[in-house]
Amino acid sequence: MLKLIYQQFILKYPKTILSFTFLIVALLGYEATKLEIDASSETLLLEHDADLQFAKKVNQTYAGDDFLVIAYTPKDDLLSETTLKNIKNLSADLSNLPRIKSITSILNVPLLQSPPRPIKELVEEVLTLESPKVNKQLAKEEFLKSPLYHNNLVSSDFKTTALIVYLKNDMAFKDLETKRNSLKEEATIRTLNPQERQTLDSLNLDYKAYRDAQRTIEHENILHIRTILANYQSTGKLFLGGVNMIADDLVSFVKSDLSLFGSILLALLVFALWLIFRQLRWVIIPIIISLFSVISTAGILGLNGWEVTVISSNFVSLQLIITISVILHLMVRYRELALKYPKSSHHRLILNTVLSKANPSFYAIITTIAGFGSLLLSGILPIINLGWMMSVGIAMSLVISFVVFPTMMILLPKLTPYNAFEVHFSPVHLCAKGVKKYGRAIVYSSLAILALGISGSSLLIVENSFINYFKEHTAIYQGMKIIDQKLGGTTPLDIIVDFKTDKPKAPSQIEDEFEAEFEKSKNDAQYWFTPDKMEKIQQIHAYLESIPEIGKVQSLATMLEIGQMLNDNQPLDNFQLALLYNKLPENYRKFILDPYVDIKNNEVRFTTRIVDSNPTLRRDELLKRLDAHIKTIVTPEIGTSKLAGLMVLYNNMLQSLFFSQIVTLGVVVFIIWGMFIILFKSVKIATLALCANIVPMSTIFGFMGWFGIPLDMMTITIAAISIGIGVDDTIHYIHRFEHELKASNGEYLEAMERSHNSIGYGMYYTSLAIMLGFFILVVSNFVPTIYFGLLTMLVMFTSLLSALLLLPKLLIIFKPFKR
Amino acid sequence: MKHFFFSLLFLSLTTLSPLWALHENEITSFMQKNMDEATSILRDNKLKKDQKAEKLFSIFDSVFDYSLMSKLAVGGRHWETLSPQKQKEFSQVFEQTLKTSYMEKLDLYTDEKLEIVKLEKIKETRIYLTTHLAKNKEVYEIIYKFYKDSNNNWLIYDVDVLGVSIIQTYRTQFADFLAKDTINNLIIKLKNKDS
Repeated sequence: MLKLIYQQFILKYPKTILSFTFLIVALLGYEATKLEIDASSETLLLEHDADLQFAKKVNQTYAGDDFLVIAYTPKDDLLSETTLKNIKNLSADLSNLPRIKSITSILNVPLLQSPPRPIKELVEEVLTLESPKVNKQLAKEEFLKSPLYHNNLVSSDFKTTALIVYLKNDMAFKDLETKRNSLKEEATIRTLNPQERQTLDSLNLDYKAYRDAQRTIEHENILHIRTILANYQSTGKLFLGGVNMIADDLVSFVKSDLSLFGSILLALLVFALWLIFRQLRWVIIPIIISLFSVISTAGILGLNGWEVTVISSNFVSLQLIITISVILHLMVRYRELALKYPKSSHHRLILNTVLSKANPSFYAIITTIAGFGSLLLSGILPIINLGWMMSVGIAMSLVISFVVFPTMMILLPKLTPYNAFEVHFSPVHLCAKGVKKYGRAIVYSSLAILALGISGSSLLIVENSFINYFKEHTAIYQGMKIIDQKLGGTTPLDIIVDFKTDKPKAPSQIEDEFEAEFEKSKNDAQYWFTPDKMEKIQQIHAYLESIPEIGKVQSLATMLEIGQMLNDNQPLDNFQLALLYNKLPENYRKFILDPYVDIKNNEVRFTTRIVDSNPTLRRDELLKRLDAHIKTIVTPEIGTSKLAGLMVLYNNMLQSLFFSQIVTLGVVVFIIWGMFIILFKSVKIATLALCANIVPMSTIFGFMGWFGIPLDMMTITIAAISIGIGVDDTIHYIHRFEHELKASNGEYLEAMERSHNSIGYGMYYTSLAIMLGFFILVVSNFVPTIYFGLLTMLVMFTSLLSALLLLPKLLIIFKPFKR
Repeated sequence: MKHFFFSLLFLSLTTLSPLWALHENEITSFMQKNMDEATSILRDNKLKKDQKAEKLFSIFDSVFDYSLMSKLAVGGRHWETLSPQKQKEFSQVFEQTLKTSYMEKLDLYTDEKLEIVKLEKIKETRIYLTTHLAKNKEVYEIIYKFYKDSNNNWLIYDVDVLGVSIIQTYRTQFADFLAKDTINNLIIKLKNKDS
């Protein structure tokens, strides 16, 4: 059947087929331009995460504006005239940008004790650093001592200050988002009627369009701010920071790395192909097929509106690896046949090449698809998307390789392959010798590697440190470090405490007139501040401050502390607090009350920032520890407590990635074993093949565990690669081995040697080309990219060794093939 | 006669109930007179803080129903579970708490003027007397809440300062405490605070 298709069709009309393929790729290429990269931080969150819903609720309740932070370390003294003038000018320059709502700096925050004044006066007139009445020496002391400003607006050494740049809230966008999300939510509960469906579709379109426009504006805003900051670099060091910026920058790094290293990687592949084959066609054909495959996959993604996220941004590299593997096996097979049968016709050689490779390549791809398909089980949207993308992508690679390779070849004249590389330098021979001579050593060292791998896996950590994504000499690292260590930390973590609510009794239930009167007003806001609650709040606040991993903590306790300071160091009682609540001017309330208490819901909020650069930080463990301890303060009879914020959401995402990796890995191993059984029609062979795959996989996890490389959103896809590559090698090798065994009359050793000398090259070249290409990633400034490059090389290397040493040795030991 | 003695016993138990009656038409004049007197005590720099307090309490004690205030602060539900003895003990402690808290705030007084603004009869048994404490341009509103007892006597059961009811602040505070602790511990806590 396949032979017929090739004879009657593909090899008969190569020009037509090739033009047709080119046309389809061009059309898909056009669609590829519509491919969207959704690189927002939301894509890193779990869609149906209960914590995300909670975080959204918290954000609504304590509505605050989005902000960026500028860390400024002036050359002059922080309170010198020059520095203050620079801050003033900088603030004015920034305020001119359309996205910026306001700027908070040491210049405009209220000073309460510089000099100390009675509360009444404080309320009447707000002093700032710019007021003539202010005593600068006292102001310095206040900045350093005030729970509001210390380690937040100024560093402890009083050399660095923060400018908080508040961004305008886009209400129209928020409305759109709310509408869309509520309808989306509805759709998960019941089937929408056609009209609602239509509304949702149009809302989705509007949302996307708005969001994309918004993203450009955000990005431009950050660029503008950076330009303005550049004008002030001569006055000191300025760094832009804040979670919003980090997310934006992170994505820019991933993108620029992909485009920069993508092209260098391609160049290195060309070099590797030239080094090995020394004939132009063996360079051009694989590059064309790889490009065709990547372009068509991108086109299909664009056509379906699938967006590339940070997690799935590796798809290009992954597809490149697998495509190269498919083509190289075809090329090596063709060269092998051409050298063996020099008199055979070009047509015949090509036909034999594709036909003999069709079966193993098909199975190699199918099992790889099964491997990536298992990602669909993860339940995490970006991971599911990666599963789909890869499944579609490698299927495309298979089809394109098997169409373009023969058509291009048939259009080219027959050429005697140049095989000097094989002759001069052949580790494949060494491997064959090794299997013969050191068989036992191979098995034992494999067992040792397996043991090391499994023990290393238990040391694996899942961390989402932003700062460790960048090398120490980069500006972004230094900026984050200053904000992190001197200005109170980076990743926000909220603790929400809900106090138990005692509902007022219905008036009819109360006989006593007095009781009725007081019951009616007992839940009025000003009576909320009871000593028991304040004590709990202060207890939690003190606990949070005692945690070294936490930078700045702010809560109602901050206000209580300031109140006590202003009240001759006497704590405020609930009567005073009630008075304060009733009389506090709006500008103070917005600052010290509204972000931390929601009286209507009987709820308080502690905002903290985690010091991301702390090397001993173990996020999941920290969150669990905090949660457990706070629950001992907020016992069930008092209320409930819950952690929220970006810290929790990112941690959830990574933990579930980790968990889903473990689960899917288990499923994948099982599925692949099943497919091996179908393919090789033998449980014994399938089991041996699986063993040869498990060793490289455990090497990767062991390596990461022992060397402390954390699993994060980039490195987590490495398991999928290891399976994809490992399985390919195994299938190709076993398929060939079976063939060679027949040719050598059941002599296992001879079959091994023959297999190494034929298919071994295909495997070895694939690994060599890819390792050389991915080597370039090691010089990136973006640490996950470095790990990705390093681990890909390791996967390629160990998979190759396993397939050329362990697998043949196992086959020789167990002799699984029937005579 | 028996009834008279019983009433006397009752009155002595609730130690601070006035032994004389304040009638509706006397409220304004009584309060104005006492407030004037209080102002002059407050302005008297020769007096020490505790002397001032003692004098002030002697003026107003007669018109405050500390017993009812105690009951309201604890809340009817809890109050009814207490033995008369405990109720008495609590009333004494609570009265002291109120006075201590008042004394602590005496220093805040400088030379504000106190004046009666209006007297409102909310219903048959309730009168609100609104007063203003004024200094410079700032005016603070204080409302004295009176009720009529079974002897047609008008007594203060709560004071509202700038919209904050003193009794309600204690009531919410004690409710929080009693939700997970006992009245005995509350008494101990208040005693410790007063001392």
